[in-house]
Amino acid sequence: MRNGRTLLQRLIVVVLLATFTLVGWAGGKSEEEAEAAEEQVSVRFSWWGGQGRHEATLEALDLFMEENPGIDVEAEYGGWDGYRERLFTQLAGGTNPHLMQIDQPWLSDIWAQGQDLLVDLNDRPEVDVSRFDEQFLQNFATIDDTLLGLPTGVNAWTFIVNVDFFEQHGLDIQEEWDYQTLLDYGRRVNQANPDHYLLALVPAHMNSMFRHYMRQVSGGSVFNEDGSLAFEREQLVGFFELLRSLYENNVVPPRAEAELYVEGQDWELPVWAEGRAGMISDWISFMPSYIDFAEFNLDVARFAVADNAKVDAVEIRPVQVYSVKANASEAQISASAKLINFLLNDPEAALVQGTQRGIPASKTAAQALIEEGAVPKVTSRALELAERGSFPPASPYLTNAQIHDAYADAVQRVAFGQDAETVADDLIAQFRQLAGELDFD
Amino acid sequence: MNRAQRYHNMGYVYLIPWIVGFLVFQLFPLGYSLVLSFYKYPLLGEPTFVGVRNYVKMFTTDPNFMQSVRVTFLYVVLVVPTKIIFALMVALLSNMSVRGVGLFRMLFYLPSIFGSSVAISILWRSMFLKRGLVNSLLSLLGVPAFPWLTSTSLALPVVASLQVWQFGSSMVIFLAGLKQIPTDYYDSARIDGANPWQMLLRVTLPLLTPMIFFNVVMQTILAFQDFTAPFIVTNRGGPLHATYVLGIHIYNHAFTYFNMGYGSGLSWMLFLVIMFFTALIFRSSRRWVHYES
Repeated sequence: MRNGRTLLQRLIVVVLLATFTLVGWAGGKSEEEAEAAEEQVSVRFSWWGGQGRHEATLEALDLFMEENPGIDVEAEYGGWDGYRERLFTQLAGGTNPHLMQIDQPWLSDIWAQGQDLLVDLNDRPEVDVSRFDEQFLQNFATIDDTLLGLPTGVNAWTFIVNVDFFEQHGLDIQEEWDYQTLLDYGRRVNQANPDHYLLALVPAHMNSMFRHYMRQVSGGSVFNEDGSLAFEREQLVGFFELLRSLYENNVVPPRAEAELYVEGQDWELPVWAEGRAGMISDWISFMPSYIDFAEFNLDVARFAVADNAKVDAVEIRPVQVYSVKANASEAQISASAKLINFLLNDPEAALVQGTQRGIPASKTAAQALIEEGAVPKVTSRALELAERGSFPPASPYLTNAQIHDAYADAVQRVAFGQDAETVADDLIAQFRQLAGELDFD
Repeated sequence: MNRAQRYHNMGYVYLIPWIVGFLVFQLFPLGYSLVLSFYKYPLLGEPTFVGVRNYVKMFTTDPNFMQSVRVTFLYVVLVVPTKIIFALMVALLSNMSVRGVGLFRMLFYLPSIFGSSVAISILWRSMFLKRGLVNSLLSLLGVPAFPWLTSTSLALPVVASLQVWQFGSSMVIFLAGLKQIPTDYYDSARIDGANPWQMLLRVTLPLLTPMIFFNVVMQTILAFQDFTAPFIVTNRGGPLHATYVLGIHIYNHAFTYFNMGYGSGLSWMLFLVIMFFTALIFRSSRRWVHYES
């Protein structure tokens, strides 16, 4: 304390600080009281998607808030890239949004780490669960009798066909494909025109091809319940040799094409967008973007089935699920459940959102769309073709991120010309080692 | 407490904000990650103690660890000498009192201000695409296009070049060092009949060794830790892990697979490696660094 003036200045500062703090705190408090008085609830809702999906969802949210003036929905949306990392970090810290769009394969990873993170939607009266196919819910959204999320839409993996390309090359569009025909057509296409390829596939697409092939020949899951391998070494080698011949016969573009590939926007891949490819493979939930983007006529075909397949099936799964945060107030959980019910079951909401999340999994919503003719013919046709056979639910080992990266690496190595047998042996060793570390039982 | 002591203590009081920040955001996480490296912690679950298993795993069952170590070493060996040699050369050149030399010094320094931020890395990547700027320029010279980003042998040099391009900060340090050399030495050398080359070797370089030493240590430490450039330019360390530096491996395990314990272990292993090489450089410095005192 040097002199009285300094002391006075300090006193003023302290008094001001105290005043501001009290005002802010008191003001906040009265806000809470006001909230309680009006029963205003605020919930956060996160999703990923493209521009089309964002606009449609926001419109649906506006409708919901109009009909439910006591609920305020804060939208947090963005692209696919980094969504998983952000969500898992939020889950760990308890700062996740109340309503979350979750990619279905992540559910088993989340469940394995904590059984009290997501609400059991069977227990919520605000949501009408009966409008969904029971088997679908059981297969994909239920773990240990807990309904962890509701599927937004039904997705299927399909070939998307450039009709004009086939006409140009004088080839017939097959409805169902096997790998021999793919190789045959692929050779002819590329011989006719070295810049043309039958399949616009880059190594990232091959991951889905790997999964389909291995699930088909192994009887459905690739991994057994205890994590042991459900396939033979020869089958794995067979797939990698098939992959090599796709490259050697120029059925697919050279792997350098991959450098222009942006994940999640396959319709912009140059070899496809420029009309130099006959088919590309993708989920039907992306069909609106393909339709918007393509400058040629589109059709669909059933994805390829392996020759020695035990299960003649193509992947059908939820586009994604909506889940509710368990560690929240009753008002927030109730509001989130109401929001799910509106977004998924309400016919008006269904019309606003269209097929931005695939064909709705809820029967009422799907009905509403079909009656309006709002489902593109190619989308419903692709689902129809896919439904000709079904896989048992995927093993949580198969959907785990490390396992995925392991086979994605193996696919890359084969694409770069490494020997199929060596790669297969390495991958089997890796699968065994990873399965030993992961803990799903 | 007399007045002098009170002044003294006021200094500590002013330091308190920084100290608190340091303890909370740097020292505590450092200690926590060391402890965590002996646990298995999948982020959404509880940590379980596993002893040294993480460290054993690195050298036995992790298929990508040795590859990332190899790539990181290669990267450091590519980046550090090249960067320092360029910095030295350009510093010597721009030490002349020619008109406009200041402009050139600034232009060479500018890249290191940008750093290998995400934006610059994306630009660098698009320059080296098959149909990108570099191949277009090469085609003007009649040279065929190179698969810069998809070739396992070219990808690492491309990423290294982004780092080397930022030699400006090292160059500035050399310039400062050059300015410090008393002109008397050069005068007496000239009298003794030395040519410019001999002056460079016998006068300039020896007197610059403290600066060279500093730059080598700093650049080595930075190069070992580099993450953004390899991650973005080659899309997460491709092709086939050719640019898969240890930083990316740590990122994958910590933030994609959420193996927090293992990720922490990897980080400390990186720290040990950097410390080892820094110590090596320090030991060797006794032989080749001449301080004027």
